[in-house]
Formats: sequence, C-alpha cells, structure tokens
Amino acid sequence: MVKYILKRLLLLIPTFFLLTLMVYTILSLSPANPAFMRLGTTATQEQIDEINHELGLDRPLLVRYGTYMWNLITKGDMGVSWVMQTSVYKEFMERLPNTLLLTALALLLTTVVGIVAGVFAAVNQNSIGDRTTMILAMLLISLPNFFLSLICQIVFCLQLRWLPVTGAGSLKHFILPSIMLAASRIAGQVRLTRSSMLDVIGQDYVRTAYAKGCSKRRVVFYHALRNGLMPVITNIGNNVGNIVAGAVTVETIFAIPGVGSMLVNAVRSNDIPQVMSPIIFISLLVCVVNLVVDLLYAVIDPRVKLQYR
Amino acid sequence: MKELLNIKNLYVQYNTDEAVVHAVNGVDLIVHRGEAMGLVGETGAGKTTTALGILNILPEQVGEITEGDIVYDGKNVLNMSKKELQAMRGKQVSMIFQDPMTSLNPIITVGNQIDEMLLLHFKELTKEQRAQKVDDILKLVGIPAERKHEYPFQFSGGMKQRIGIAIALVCQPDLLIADEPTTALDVTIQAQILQLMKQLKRELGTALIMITHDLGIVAELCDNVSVMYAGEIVETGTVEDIYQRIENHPYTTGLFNCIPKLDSNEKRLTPIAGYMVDPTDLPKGCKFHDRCPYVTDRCGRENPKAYQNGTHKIKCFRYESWGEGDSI
Repeated sequence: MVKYILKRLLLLIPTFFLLTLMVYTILSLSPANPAFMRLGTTATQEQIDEINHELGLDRPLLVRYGTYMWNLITKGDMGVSWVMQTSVYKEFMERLPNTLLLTALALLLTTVVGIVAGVFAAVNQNSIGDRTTMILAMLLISLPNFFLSLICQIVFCLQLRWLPVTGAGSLKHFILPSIMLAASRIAGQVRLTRSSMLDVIGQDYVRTAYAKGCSKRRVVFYHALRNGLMPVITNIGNNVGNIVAGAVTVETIFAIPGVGSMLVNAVRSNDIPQVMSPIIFISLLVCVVNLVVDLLYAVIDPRVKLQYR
Repeated sequence: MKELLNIKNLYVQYNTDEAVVHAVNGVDLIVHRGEAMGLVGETGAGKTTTALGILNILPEQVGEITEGDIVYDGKNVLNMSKKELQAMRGKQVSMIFQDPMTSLNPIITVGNQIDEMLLLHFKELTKEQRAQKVDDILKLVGIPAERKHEYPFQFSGGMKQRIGIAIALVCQPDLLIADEPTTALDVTIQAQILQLMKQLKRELGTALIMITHDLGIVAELCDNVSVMYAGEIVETGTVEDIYQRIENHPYTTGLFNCIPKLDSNEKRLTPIAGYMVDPTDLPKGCKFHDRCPYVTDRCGRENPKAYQNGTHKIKCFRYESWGEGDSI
C-alpha cells in the first residue's frame, strides 16, 4: 500500500509538468502582446523589441517555460502581471484563502447533503420523501448557477436582509455563495447516491443480510452503505474539479476576491502571467484530490486494496 | 414427529408495472422436525418465492402475500412483529441461497459475516467464544479457520457456497432452507456440498427444505418430496411414493422422462411438450392441462383437488378414485 502511494505521488510529477506545459503553450499562442498593452498602438518597433527582450519573450517557448517553472518551484515566483506590473504571487496568495474557504464549504455541503439525502431517498424508495427529494434535485440541476444565485441574492439579501449581498468580509459572506456553488452539485450527488444505493439494496447479499435477521438499519448502514458509496466517492473527486471551476462564476457574481475572479479578470485583460497561476492551482488541486479519492477507494474496498500490494 | 412448519393455502404475487405475476397459488406444505422435504419443479414454479415467504423477506413493495398462513412452530410468520421476525430469521430458520457468487457481502471478511449471525442471535457470547464458534463451523464445512480474515472474492465458488452454508448453520437452526445450493456449482463440487449437507443433517438433526430441479439430489437427501408447477404443489409423498414411478402426476412423469438414461440406447431426450405457463396469465382449470398427454375436457374447466392414497397425494383427475385428501 505504501509502495502504491509513493508510486502515485511520483506519477504526479510528470502529470504536473505535462499539464503546465500544455497550459503554457496554449496561452503563449494567444495574440496578447504586453508591449502594446504598456505602450499603446503607437509604439515603435524598437520599443516593442526592447520590452519583449526585457520580459524574455524573444526567447524560445521551451526556454521560457523552463525559466517560469524554475522560478515557480525554487522561489515561488509566478512572474509579474503585464497589466498591473505587480507580483502575481502576492495577489494569488491574498486571494487563495477566500477560494479555499468557498470551495471547501461547497464541497462539504455537496458531500454531506448529497449522501444523506441520497441514502434517505433510496431507503424510502417511492415514498413522498423520496419523490420530493428527486423533484428538488431535478429543479436544482435544471436551474443555471448564475440565475439561481441572482434570485437568491434578491430574496435573501435585498428583500429579507438575512445575508450580505457581496464581498468576503466575514464567514456570513460565504454562506449564500457556498450554497449556490454546491446547489447543482448536490443535486447530481443525490441522484447518484440514490441510484447507487438502490442498486446495492437490490443485491443478493442484502437479501442475505435480511435473512440473517439484521434490522433494516443494520442492513442499510453495515451492509449496503459502504458498497453503495464507491461510485459516490469517485464522484466526489469529479466534484472538486467542478466546484473549483464553478467558483469562477460564483466569485464573480458575489464579488468575492478569489482565485476564480482573478482568472476571469486576467483572461479579460489578456494578462497571461495572471492566468497561469490560477490554472496551475486548479489543475494541481484536481490531481491531488483524485489521488486521495483513489486511496480512499482502497481503504473502503478490500478488492482494490489487494491489487495495490 | 412434531410439526415444525405449516404453510396453509399460500398465495403470493409480484406486482410489477406491467402485470401481476401469480407466483404461488394456494400452496399447502407441512414440514416436521428433523424432516428433509424436497421441493421440486422447473424454473419459475414458485419454489424460491415460497421459501422467501417463510422468512417473510419477499422484495419490498413488489412481493405480496395475498392469502394464506405460514405457521412456524405454532406462530404465524405473517403476524409477527419486526422484532420477532428478526429473532426468527437466521436463528430458527436460515437459508442457503442459490448463487454463492452474489449472496455474500463483497467487502466484509467471511469470518465477520459468519460472526454476524452469532452477534445478532447470541448476544451473551463473548468475542472469544464467538471466534471459537466461527472456527468450529468453518472446520465443519471444510475451510481452514485461518482463512476467516479473507474476503469472499478470495474464495472459489464451491468454497463460497460452503461459507454460505456455514453462515446458515452457525446458529444451529431448526429449519434450513436450501435454495438450489448446488445449481451454480460444477458437478464435483455439487457432490461435496451434498455430502456435507447429508452429514450436517445427520449430526445436527436440522429439518431441511431442499429446493431444486434435480430429482437426483432429492432422492439422495430427502425423506419427502413435493412437486411444484405454476405455483401449485401438484404431487407430494415420500421419496418411495414418488420414485417408484408407478403412480405419478403427469408433470412428475414428464420430469422423470427428462432424465437421460445411461442404460438405454436413446438418441434424444424426452422433454415435456410446450412451455411453462405464463404466470401473469394463468389458464383455467388444471395449470398443466395444455402440456398434459392425458388431458380431458374437464381439465380445462376445473382445477383438480388433491387425491390421497396413504402418504401419497396427487392433484390430477386420473387419481380421483383414491378419494379426496387434505389439500396440498
């Protein structure tokens, strides 16, 4: 098992480099030119060349990529914003806690609410509770994130005045955004958990458990739950990627200064160094989370664990 | 022998979206303490449904007992509280399931799956005493006790079925229902499992309901036989009554004819003509009349009663001269 974890951790390294190389290459294909941004369209060719040389843009792609990665890994240096001429690293670090808090809350909500409601619906299949849960889930899946967010802002913030509309000053600011970010993910999680649990509840070994004299509660929690959660856990890994990507929208709507809104602003202004760092963060996060999910899988399922010896 | 299980006029149906499946249609069955009863019939005859009914574990919302009583040891299973049912299942009546590949929980060690029975039904035992019992029962079914920490997927099919048997027997039930315990296994393993069940029946004195479509297994293991067709028992009697093959229900005769004979020079098997009746649309009269070589007009109009000759009862007008007996 330890050997397997080490192997997976080692595999992260080439994955990370390949990923960043791809992002870097794609971004450098963009027509954005920092010299024009600073000097305006009236700049002479000499001035442009000078700035390109200063920023190292006249060197080959691989060299630029190598320098960027070297600076990032050894010094944590993410370059300088083309537009604002400030350190990308500093801004990134200022914004990171907001995004981490938002996504962590949303992920917690998705996982807990999704699994609890899904198991409840499956165990009480075809009851009123089950039907209500499914209709709610359907609604949440169908409503676009931004639309639901705007409606809730109007109702809960402007009309009822329970919560602040925008900003990131206190934990209270994060309540509505994290619920909005979790909403459609919860719906997916509920539906997946329900169908997975229903599948397990129909299995022969669940009938065996009843035949042994287990109570319904014991059957559900001891025999069915761990089996039913396996596909659900895989989905949690996918959710992390989705939630971080969704944070981009939610941070913009609720004006939360996070990594997501940093990405949107940077893309809008063609500020390539500013674009790189959020993307690297998101992709690295997804890689790590998927590793954790795979390991969790092994903890739950002895069949997987034995393969990893 | 004392009466242990008495099923009276049992009707079970499955309510699906498309149709109502009439799986069991008026079954009467009595099993005495220590008796081994063979329940024979082709796939879909309602054997397993009857068995699930005894434990009251028909699929929720789908399976429904519409009529009849199942009296186990003087108490009606259908009126039992949840607590009483849970106490009965596994402890007094336990079941070996048809498919050993799917009837064990894949992520719980086999030791813990056996131990769960003791945990549920013998709460006074200490952990060590339970572990000892698990070791003993594993030894009894021929699996080394040190393998109890392994998971079902690490065992072969035959061994999984042995574990299923160990689970069913660890609480020493009064009645064991074996639902085609050898169907999913190859012939050499079948012989081992049957040998094992024979030995257990002798040593523990457990009453047995052996569900199978294999007449050979019944002859080897059982005292009495009931033959099921389309949710009804059409013939019942001692093994001698039925295997003499002098007086049988036409369906039973058909089943016997399906067995290939090694000593005669036949080129083909003799199957029963036609197909099993559709349980969503049962025919009037005798359910077998469409396929019966002795069919008369009356068979299509009227369902025959059980006619009795000593221990032997047959539901067919050909044996009307025996006189009406208790229903089966």
